[in-house]
Amino acid sequence: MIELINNIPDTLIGIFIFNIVVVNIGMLLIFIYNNPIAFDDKKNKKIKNIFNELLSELILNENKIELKQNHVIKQLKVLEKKRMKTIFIKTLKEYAIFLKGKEFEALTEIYKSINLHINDIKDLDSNRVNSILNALERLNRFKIKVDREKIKALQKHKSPEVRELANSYTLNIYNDLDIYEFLDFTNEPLTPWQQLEYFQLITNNIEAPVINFSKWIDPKYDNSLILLALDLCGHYKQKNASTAIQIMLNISTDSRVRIKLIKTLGIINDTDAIEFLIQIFKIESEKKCKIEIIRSLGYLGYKNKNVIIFLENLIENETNISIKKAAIIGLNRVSYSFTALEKRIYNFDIEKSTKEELKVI
Amino acid sequence: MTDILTLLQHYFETFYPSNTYNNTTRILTIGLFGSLILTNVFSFIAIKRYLFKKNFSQSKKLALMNHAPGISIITGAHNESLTIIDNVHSLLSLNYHKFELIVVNDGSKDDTLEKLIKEFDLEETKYFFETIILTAPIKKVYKSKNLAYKSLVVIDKVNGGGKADAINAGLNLAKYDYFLNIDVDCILDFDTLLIMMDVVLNEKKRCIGVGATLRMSNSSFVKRGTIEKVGVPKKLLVRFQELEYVRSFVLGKMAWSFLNAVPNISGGLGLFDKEIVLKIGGYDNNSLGEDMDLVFRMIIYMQENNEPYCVRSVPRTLCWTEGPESLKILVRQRIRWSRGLVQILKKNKRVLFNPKYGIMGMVIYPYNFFVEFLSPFIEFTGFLIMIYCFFYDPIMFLNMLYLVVVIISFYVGLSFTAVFLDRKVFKYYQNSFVTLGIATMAILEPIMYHPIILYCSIKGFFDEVTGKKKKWGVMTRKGFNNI
Repeated sequence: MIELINNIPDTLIGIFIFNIVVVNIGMLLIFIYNNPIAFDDKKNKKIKNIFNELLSELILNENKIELKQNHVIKQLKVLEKKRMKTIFIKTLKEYAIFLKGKEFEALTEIYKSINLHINDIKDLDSNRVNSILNALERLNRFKIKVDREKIKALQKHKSPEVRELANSYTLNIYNDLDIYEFLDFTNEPLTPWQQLEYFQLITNNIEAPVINFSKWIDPKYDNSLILLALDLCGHYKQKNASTAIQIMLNISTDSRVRIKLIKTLGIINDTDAIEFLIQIFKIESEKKCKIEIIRSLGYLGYKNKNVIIFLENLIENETNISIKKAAIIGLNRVSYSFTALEKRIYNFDIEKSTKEELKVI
Repeated sequence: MTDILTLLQHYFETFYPSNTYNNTTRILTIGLFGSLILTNVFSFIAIKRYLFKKNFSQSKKLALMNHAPGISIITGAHNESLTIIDNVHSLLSLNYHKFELIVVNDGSKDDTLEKLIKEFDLEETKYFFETIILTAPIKKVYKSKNLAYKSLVVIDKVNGGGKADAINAGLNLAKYDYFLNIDVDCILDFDTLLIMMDVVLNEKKRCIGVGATLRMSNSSFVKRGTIEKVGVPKKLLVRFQELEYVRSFVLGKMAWSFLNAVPNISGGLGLFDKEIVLKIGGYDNNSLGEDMDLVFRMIIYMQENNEPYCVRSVPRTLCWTEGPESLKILVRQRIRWSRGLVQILKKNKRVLFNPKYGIMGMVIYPYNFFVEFLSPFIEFTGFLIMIYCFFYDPIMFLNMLYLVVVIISFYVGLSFTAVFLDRKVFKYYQNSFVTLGIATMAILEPIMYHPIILYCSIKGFFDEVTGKKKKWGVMTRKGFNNI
């Protein structure tokens, strides 16, 4: 038997031990080391519930209670123990997402009253990306104003996460004319989330300067930035963007950008662009772009004879059901003739194009 | 037979002396274990990265953003009378600002449609749409008279022979740019749409698909269409499946996600870019593994058109599904999966080691071919050799036995890691005792469960090769434990 066991290759025994040490114990230890808060879920939940109650009380009383003297804070040693502090901040942050007005101000006061903002401002100079991110995130959420130069430096930080958060912070907090300058020096494409968030931050900040956003509707910028600029031009109804959009439409080949360009042309309501849209409809090959042109004409061409004739012809001659559907809706908008529309719908025989669709109708 | 084996032995002794044998074993075992450890490390990094991003994620804000993209939820229902009402309520209550729910009644013979009409106050409606993908005929389209259910669309169609046809019909009507494909027997997490869309929006490349972790709902409790209490499956067969799902999603899929090489987004839950799906012609109705087939074709399309893309997986459990409780249904399901894999590999063989197809040609396809497809045959051959050695070469037999024990212990180790990682990060199991209960299934798995899977893989291959008639079969539902 011993002889047989001796025949087992050493490699296998080595790997067996390695397996147990590395896979089972090692991975678990690494994970536990990185997640001290993950211990003792039940206790964490209990503490969180206590903080929830405390915060509700503080918000309802508009923070008239002296937080540092609060018996819960004292008893749980929130200011001394790292774990308690982490859970408290987490709870505070969760409240801050949806609250506005006085309630939000009360939360900010709570945040300030335990001097968290001072530590966070200090952390902005940290070498650890994680510390900067956490600090920046809290300062942003509680709208604490920090020296602009400090944030400008972070907008050029080596970490993309820090840059992103610093940009959001800039748009959220400052109202200076140069808050958009990062859009000029950002080389990387914006994620769809960044586009959404920046749009939301700019439009929600009533005091933010409204500049001519069409300056970024230029082929030298990334498509993602052009899309953001288009959203902003649309939101602020910047008619002067029309020329840039038309130039861009002649250059751009990306269908998503083209769709947005056409849509914005409709939203900014530049009636001078009607002829241009009719012309590009004829050379457009992408179906989605064609539908978007019809939609835009629907917005722009109210009582416009050319548009009405164009859409009527489309209903007569077009074979694609989606384009026909868009044309009917567009005609409804521009002509305001419900009876005619109804008539068209009932005489509409495109549904007979396939058997299954005929059954539906 | 004995002569052939003696000849082979002689051949190996001549060309591979004992030190060569040791070296070969060393290389093979290190290669196998190394790749698995690497998978583990990648998944660990991917989960850490996910949690790190989650800390700063403001995905909840998405629920309030009017500009965020809309989602069409499409689900097929074929004889789902038992669970349909719970499921539709669950789906309608999801936390997202802009979505529509398209339920495709795929020729149900029970009262699925009647129940839907009654519960949601549906009426027949005129619906203009373009047939982009051909499907079995649609009989009627229904919408609710009740404004509370305005986002619900029910399509009643002739059975098209599979889930693919039902989803394709839904795709023709879907109005948003992204669609979520789910099995109607699934219960989703309240924030599923937010979490999955958050992943899509935070990618720099075009995210064409996102999957998430699935788990067994068999012993969980449902209240008004949402999971109220996560229960650990009581039946042994379902417990094995639970372990298998946790290991596959938490370890495997996350590692693939890290490498941008997710080979499959489960048919149970997946968010896709509708434009790309329509461009490749939707789901393949002839495929038995239509979910994997779709991801394969989407990736191939992106590679062929040189468009940067990514496919991601979320480690959080967002979907609870009813797992087969009887061996017969499980075997049928796994044979179907195995046949599906063979079909996909056969259909896309041009991409194997073709650098033009990037990660698909160099990683995804080879992995699925050499590991997922060939490994059952290697295992089976190894088993036959072991039987031979038991009688003719006891030393070799013991060596092989030891190798098997090492491999099994390694897999047990991986399973333990997956379950504990899942417990620590997502805390679905109430206590450590329950977690341990699931983890210990890993010890029984190689003896009790794995042989069944092995059998199904081989049977699936032979069924496909011999051209046996394709059948989806009936999945008997037990329904949810309602509180």
